[in-house]
Amino acid sequence: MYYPYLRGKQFELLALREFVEKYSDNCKVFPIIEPVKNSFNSMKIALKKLQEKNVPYALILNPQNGELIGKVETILEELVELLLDTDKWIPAYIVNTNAKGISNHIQTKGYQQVMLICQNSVDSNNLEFLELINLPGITKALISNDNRSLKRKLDRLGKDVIRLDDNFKPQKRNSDYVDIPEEIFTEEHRYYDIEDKYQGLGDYTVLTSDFLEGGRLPYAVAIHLTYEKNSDEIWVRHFVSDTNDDSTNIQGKFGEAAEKAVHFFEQIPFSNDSIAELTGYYRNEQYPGLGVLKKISIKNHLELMNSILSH
Amino acid sequence: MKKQMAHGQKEKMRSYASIFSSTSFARLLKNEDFDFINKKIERYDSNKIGKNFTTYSEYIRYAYNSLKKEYRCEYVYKNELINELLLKKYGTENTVVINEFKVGNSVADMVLFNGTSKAFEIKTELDSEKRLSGQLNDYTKIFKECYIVTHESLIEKYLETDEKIGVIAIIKHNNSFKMREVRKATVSEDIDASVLIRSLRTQEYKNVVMAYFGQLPCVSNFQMFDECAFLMKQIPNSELHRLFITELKKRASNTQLLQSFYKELRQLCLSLKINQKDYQELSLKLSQPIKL
Repeated sequence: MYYPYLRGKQFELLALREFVEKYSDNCKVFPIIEPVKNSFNSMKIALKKLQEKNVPYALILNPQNGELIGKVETILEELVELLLDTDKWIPAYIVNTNAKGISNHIQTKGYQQVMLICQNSVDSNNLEFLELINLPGITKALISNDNRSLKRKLDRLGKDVIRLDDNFKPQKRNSDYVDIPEEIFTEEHRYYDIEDKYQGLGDYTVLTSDFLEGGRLPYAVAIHLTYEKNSDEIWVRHFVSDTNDDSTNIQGKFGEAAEKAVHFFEQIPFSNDSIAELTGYYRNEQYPGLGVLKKISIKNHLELMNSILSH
Repeated sequence: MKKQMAHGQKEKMRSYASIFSSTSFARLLKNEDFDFINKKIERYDSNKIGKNFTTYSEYIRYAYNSLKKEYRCEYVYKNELINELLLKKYGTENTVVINEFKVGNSVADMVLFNGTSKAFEIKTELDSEKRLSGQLNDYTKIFKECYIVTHESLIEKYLETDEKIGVIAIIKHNNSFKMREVRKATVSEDIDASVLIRSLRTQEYKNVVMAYFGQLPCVSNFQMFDECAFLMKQIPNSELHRLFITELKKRASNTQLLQSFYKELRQLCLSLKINQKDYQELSLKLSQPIKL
């Protein structure tokens, strides 16, 4: 199973919705969503779609970023109708030094199936943390690959252990990708299960694990698309515009970047829904907006991981 | 500043200046987060509560007036520019004021559109004049009138810049401060279409081309910018100025509302593009008594 970690923002959620719309019948994707926005509209539409299509997901109840930090009751109230059916979703918690509070919350709520996302500040010998992972309700735990002793402990307790990798290497500016046409993204999909004995693998898709808000109009347009290279490795290719000296003419810049992407995938040749959508905008000479480009990048990665884990 | 300010006093003034931050006020508006003000009160002024001020708005006035006397940072200049020149002299009817407007490789501190177009570059006593000639060179490419806004002690220095550039100064007058136009800017009819198009939004440059030629070029979206840039160069200067001003005056603006905002916070309200409803909320929050 593949566990993409997504922040509950408009275009991340849109990517998810469009993905499950098409792939719910053969879905190897178990999304983890961190709510970060006060306005719950996009979130409600997306969760509704996931439930309708019977795709289970994890919802983080103690977000560490954005507008909902410490607002667990707000989250539960806003989404109350969607969360009634506990077969459709599982609660998730980000664990750092807050194990005690999480244990209390799980017990108060009586949750039976819980996911933990362990940050690197977790001390696997800490008593409160040990009490937390010993709760029978804890079924899944995401950890970084660096924490071997934690993995062993969780394994012994019979939990599903999932590795969470921070695969995307962000550059300061989009124009910095000009010198990095592509780079290896991951090959863990080959090793995570049989060799490394994880029950799943996760990443932050083609976004950085850092939480970033807004941003200004960039000087360069960059489209990040993952694809399978050398038959068994996943690479990310950065398609960047050429005229990058100021923030004007974003349409023209999109045209430049999209042209490179479209030609590249024609030559492999490879396509999926996301590549087809991008090709469509390029052929119709239509600029879809930066949000849609982000959606395409994320959706493409979901499609890719789903197809790799399916065969 | 005449006397060298004592170190502690300077720190305090810097602290006061940091109160007038748009990120902090945006957060205050969203949540009830008075932390950024409370910290300053705790550090410097907790003994004055109930004497010099009781509510948050009174404290803001207190801090602002201290800045005006002792530490005229950019915020004070921008705010006084709004209070003294925009509201008292130019009037807000039919005027649009914009904060931080991108021109060429520079960003003008404040620009104004009514029948004409004006750009203002603020040079406080705390600023260096580095980059000034580059900035003015950029602004004069699309604005009819360009001004340096400075302190009275620096008038002589800035009068030495290009004669076409106007000079406005903050001047001490019977214990209060006034903004005075020391030298009027020369109105320029030159305009550089290739700089202008880069300061406009997509819909705006399309509107300019549409208004003059009656139609848009028959090219794809990807080539629209280049084609419009080419066409805009053929529009006569006076006409291009007029179309530029017409388009910018269409931008959503709260200039008309500025008069109704707290005198000390007008610049913040402008940069946050605060509307009537948000203002009422902000004003309600600030009218509360200080609670540490």
